[in-house]
Amino acid sequence: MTKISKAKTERSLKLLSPKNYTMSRYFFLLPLIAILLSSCGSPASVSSFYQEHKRKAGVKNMTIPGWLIYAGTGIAHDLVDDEDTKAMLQLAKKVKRLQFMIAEEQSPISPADIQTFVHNARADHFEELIVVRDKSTTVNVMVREKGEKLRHLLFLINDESDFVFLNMRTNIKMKDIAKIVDYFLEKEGWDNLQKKSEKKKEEKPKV
Amino acid sequence: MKYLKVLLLTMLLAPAFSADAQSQINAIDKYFQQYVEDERFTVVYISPKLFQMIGKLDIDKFDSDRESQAIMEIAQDLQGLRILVSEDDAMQLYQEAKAKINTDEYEVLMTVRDRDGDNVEFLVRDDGGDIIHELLLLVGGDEFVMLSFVGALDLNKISQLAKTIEDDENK
Repeated sequence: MTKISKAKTERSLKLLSPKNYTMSRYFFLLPLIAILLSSCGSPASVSSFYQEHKRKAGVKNMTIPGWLIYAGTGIAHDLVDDEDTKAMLQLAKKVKRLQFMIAEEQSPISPADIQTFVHNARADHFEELIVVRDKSTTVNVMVREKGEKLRHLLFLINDESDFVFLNMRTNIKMKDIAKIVDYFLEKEGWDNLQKKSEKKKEEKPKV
Repeated sequence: MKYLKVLLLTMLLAPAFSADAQSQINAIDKYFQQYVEDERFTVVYISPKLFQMIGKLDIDKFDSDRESQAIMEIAQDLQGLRILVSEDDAMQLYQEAKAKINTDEYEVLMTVRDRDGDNVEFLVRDDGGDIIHELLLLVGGDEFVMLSFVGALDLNKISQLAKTIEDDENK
């Protein structure tokens, strides 16, 4: 053992000694705090909107922590036989937290509140993927990326009386989505499409 | 000194040209913005981000298929899609949209008009080369439709796709 590594080991043992018990306890708490913080992090715009409205009359809310999703999808994965569901559960496993808020019949969350929220979310690096509006119903899908990962996915559905808010913190990468598209193309669509196309060619009269 | 004058002139004129192009883009953008909150309209907006994400998808099945590869190559160049649809005052909206289009900027590809008074107009905004920057579709009649595809649609890639489909069909 070199002099430096020996010194390091001695220092570590000193830290763990009863004299330094308090310090070592905090030392072990650090990873735990880091894990907790990483699972709680929501962009300010999203968390303030959720906190502001979740307790209003007529609003139902639910937060599912990542560990529960992980455990739930893991158990479900073992229980179900259907391969398609298993593939979807693999993707769902990458959801690290799910926040859900729903207001039915006379939503106390006004369209102006939602507009402001969408505006704030944009300022918080959320990007719009799709906006669909038909009459008084509006659907917004927004994403916030971090590196290769889709860190946050936000779904908002709003009409005259109802409102649905779904915020997902995920570790989903584009390659995960590609994998699942590949799977379904392989299983459901691709071969059928190819067969249909071949059948069409056979039926087509040659001029 | 001569080069300096040319450089200065270019610097002075460049913003003027870009402002002109910008004002035209803004006319169509403004039209969308004007009606995006109007409840008479059905609005669909697919952002450049989604097209970017689709372009990033590395799907093995597509790699083995020439047709899908060609489609993905085109999809990578698309930057956004906006659709406005309304059944109220369709003809008036159609005329209003047409009036906003600068004919110097957009070129009419095709116009169709039937006896019932339905009008369909395909317009493109390009740089004179093989790249189309915007494909605009206007429909006026029973309903008004305005569809704007923004991106860099390469005509060579489109013809390649058409060729691939044709080859596959002839196999």
